[in-house]
Amino acid sequence: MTAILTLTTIGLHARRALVEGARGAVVCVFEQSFHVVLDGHVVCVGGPALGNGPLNAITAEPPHTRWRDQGIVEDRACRCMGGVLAIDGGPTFSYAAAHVWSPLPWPATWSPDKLRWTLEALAALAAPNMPRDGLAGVAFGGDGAPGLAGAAGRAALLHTATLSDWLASELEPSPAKRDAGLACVAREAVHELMGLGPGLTPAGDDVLAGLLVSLRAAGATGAADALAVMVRSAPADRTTALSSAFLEAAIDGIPGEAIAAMIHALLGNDHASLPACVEAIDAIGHTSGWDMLAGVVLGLAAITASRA
Amino acid sequence: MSVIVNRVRRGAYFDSVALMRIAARVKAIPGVIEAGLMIGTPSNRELLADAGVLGPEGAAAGPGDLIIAVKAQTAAAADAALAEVALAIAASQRVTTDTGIAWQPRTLRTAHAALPGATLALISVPGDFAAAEAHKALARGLNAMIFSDNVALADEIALKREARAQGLLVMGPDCGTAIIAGVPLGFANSVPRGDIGIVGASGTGIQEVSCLIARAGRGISHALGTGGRDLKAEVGGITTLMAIDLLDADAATRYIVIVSKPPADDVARVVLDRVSRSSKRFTVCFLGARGLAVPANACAVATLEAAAADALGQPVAAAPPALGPPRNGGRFVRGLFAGGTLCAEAQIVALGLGREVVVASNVPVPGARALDAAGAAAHRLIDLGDDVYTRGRAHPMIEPAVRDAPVAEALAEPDVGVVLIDIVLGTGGHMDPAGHLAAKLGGRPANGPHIVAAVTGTAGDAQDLAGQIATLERAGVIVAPSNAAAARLAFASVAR
Repeated sequence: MTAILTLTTIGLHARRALVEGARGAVVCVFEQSFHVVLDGHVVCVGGPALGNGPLNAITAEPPHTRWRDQGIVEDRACRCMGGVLAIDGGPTFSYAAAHVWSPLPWPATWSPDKLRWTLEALAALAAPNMPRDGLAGVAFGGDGAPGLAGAAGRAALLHTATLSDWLASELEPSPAKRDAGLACVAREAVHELMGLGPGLTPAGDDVLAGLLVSLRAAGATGAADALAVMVRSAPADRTTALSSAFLEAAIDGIPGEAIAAMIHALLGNDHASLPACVEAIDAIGHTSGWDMLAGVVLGLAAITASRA
Repeated sequence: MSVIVNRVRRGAYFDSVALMRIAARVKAIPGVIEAGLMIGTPSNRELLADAGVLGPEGAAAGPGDLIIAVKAQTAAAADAALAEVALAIAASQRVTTDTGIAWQPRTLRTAHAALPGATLALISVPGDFAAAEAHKALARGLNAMIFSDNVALADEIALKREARAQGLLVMGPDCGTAIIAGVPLGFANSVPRGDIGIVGASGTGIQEVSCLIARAGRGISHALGTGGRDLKAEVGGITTLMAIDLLDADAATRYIVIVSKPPADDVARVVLDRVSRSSKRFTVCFLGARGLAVPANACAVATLEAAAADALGQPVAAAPPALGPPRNGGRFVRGLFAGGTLCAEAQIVALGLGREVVVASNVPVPGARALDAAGAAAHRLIDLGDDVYTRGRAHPMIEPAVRDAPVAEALAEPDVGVVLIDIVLGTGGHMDPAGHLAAKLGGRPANGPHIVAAVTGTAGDAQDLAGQIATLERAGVIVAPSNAAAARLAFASVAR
């Protein structure tokens, strides 16, 4: 008998994928989640520990549910019909009554001076706790990991420095002072960052996602749009399909709930919430949360500098 | 010369932590110079090329592929690396068939992420790294039990001050035993829940007191370890005082037992002042302390056995039958202990007999002598868990063979009339210490020394308390109901 599990909360982009008649397959299965692609759209299914996010569909299953033991393995066909996502040989997920999640609206106004202080407080909190083998060092400094494990970090430093130069120019209030030549090298840096890192959602993409979301959140719409064009201009093979889906959500300004909470804390100068926000980000993937946070910090720091 | 081998797995998806773990395992294989496992995006191919590990096969991979790139000194080493990768990938995709949790966290960070409701981290890593891990635990709002020893005193002080500022408890370093809400941690016994709380700087001290209480039919609310240096002047009893606060505020705790070596005078005053401000009744067992003035709501006792009895309000067990004089005419007791506090308690029992008794130990309590200063005419009580006996080998509670040679030596000495031994059961310990000892005692001369032992354990321990006692008795060992009782029996025998 097929088990029927309930999806309690679904991210905005995932909900768009779960439409009647959509067909696809399971593409990968991890310890705490699995991913399906439905008509080209990615949905990440997992327990509450996965956290809310644009592509996430959250079940009420207990932590440590072994999805492989539930009959969910790669390449199994799946389809949506009658308000459920059915996976061949595996459980069926009901989504008809699920709550659709999206982050709270970003604050309309914020103080660049206060944001600068809050970013300093975050850096003091984050630097001792960040993992060495991700890309958090591009925002918080540090030696990084040795050897090949740290090579991505060293490469990312160059690319993010280029991006920061471009951002400083792009955010310049006076168009006459902008350096149009930087856009070309920035686009190359964006493409180099895409797909940089060992896993399915490479760390370089996470940094870009954080950067995109922070620009949207802080109202730097012009820079966000320009960066989105650079990301979308990359050849399809620059990164994985899953990571591309995450980047599309970031272009729309929608991060996961932990990053959203951090951005709200930063823009709202809520120092008291920073430790809990860092802890929540620390729980995302191996270094993914930290990599996205690095992008957020790079973006917000550039904006505060431009308004100094 | 070196060999570069690439393999590409189409459509193999892994998260980065899995790939980095596998790469680290592969790099540890002898002969492997570098290894990388990355999805085949252009950026990653460039990284692998820069590292000198990208071959033609990897260069043709795409973002939906996994590149396994190995640079090794020999083809054989490269083959071994590829085999290791294949095994690791297969293991990560295996469907579990039992109900256990297959995944085990490797770091505090991931462990806490997997169990966000956790309130305590148990840290057991080499001493050089323990303080850093404890700081991480505190930064996450977790109480810490540091099982590790060899942590610098300055680090202990810093950790405990940091924890106190956050309202968190640091048990240890060198905290071997705790029981939190019925859950034994480290070396501890299966003890029922009850109304007696214990604060202890000594692991086997906590074990002996909690077991005697359990065997009398009562139970423990919590037993909180402090680490052996907490009552030193430099540390100031930070954890002891916080543990007393916690137990004082705990509605389930009606009595509190404190077990430690004698504290520094100033620290003793502070601790006893804190005791005096509680409405609960305390038993204070500072082993070897003399002339201790305790407040009205407390009773000072000399031994672990007396501590249990005071908390219980009754004697802990029936007195063992008297033992005749040694059959070999030996005049001295040779104590060979796994538990340091059990060794101290035996010394206190001996010194309290009121006769001219010369007691020597490698861990002497006040009134006892150091081994090398005692001369031949002395009872020798030795803590085999001391660093000098365990350097480079396991603790005797884990590996009872540590005691084999000293037992054989004692049995062969004509002056030794009684060999006194402790057997400690519970989590973390050897599964059959009595069986090991019994096997070593087989075939000894009938007119050799008496062998007297006490077993620290409860009926709930995995080693089977009754079975352990029966094994000892079958081997001709006289088993006493407590460590103190065993010491009294042994010294009474040689005094006859």
